Amino acid sequence: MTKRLDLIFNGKGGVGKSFFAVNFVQYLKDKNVQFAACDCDNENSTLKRFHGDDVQFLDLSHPRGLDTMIRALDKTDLVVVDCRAASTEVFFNYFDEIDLPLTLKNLSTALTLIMPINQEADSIDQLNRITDKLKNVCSYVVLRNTVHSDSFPLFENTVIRKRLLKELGAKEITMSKLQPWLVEELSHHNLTITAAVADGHLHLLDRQRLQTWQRKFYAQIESVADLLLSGKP
Amino acid sequence: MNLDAIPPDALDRFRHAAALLTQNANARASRLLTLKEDIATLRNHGVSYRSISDLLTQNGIPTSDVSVMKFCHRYLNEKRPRKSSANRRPANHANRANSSKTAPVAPARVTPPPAPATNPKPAPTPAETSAFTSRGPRIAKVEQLPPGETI
Repeated sequence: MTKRLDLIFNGKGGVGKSFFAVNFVQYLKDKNVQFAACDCDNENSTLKRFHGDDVQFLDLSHPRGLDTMIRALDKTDLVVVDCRAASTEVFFNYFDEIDLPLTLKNLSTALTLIMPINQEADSIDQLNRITDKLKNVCSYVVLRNTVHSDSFPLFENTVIRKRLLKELGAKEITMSKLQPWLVEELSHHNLTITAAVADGHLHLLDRQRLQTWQRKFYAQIESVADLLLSGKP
Repeated sequence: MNLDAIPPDALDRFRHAAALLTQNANARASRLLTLKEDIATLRNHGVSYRSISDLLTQNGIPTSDVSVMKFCHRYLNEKRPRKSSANRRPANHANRANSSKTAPVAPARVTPPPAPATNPKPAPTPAETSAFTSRGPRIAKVEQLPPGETI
């Protein structure tokens, strides 16, 4: 049995890290997967806002703040961390400090980085930075966030994409756009999609829209389940 | 200078106040000295002077960010931020040429700092010297595959 640490990671803000995290954690709940979840965004703790006490807060300003995510592996086989924007350096310093490859080996844990990207060069450039540092220490899942557009012309023919797919065994998934009024409605009431559908105060058509979106999202998660969930190596 | 202008009692009051100030400053410095290792650890993790001062104040040790900065400079041997070369006043060639009684100094001997391509204003002097903040901007560069090459 291999444990799994999933970091939702991209130093660029607004690429969909927390949106993915909220729905990924809901997927784990809906599928009865045991997990621990952590939110290290002290300014916008979105994951904690939606999932409350099911999420631990990691204080990145504390020297041992990130220990919590590693220690969580003592109690569960799967830990999910929603990383704050602009925290890349903090994580890299921590990885150096704890000798990440050795720590992962000692804990029989596989690390996966889920890296959301959008159409902006900054979000794609972060992939260079991350893979230059971590190389093949971990697995990579690139999450195409289509909130602005379905196509990613800037990313398609890049050197980093080729490296990720051909050398580092990365996989790509897509997160489709959820209608803005539904995002607003969910956010206003701190409701996950599952909760909103069960709640019943939305119109049938909007509940259908939410369920359709969720089905697609869950199918994408399951297409890379070998990299996101704990299990046999 | 007219020394008679300072009344003796004023001089005494000033010296007493100055002694108190020095005493308080020493007390503050020695108070932070007991936390030297903790502050050093925080600084090694890129925590800012202001965050450290907030942390101290929240826990009953009222300290300003400037005090923390000065402490780090003095006791942790952190380098003081240097005034960037862009902020230094360039040599005034005209004045030098006019004041010189010999041949004017060739302008080529004074190399002005190169101006950044995208920001004509000089970069502000960084307030901190930790590795977290001193690396400067990161401008995204997305390298495309050569024409004809596909994934």
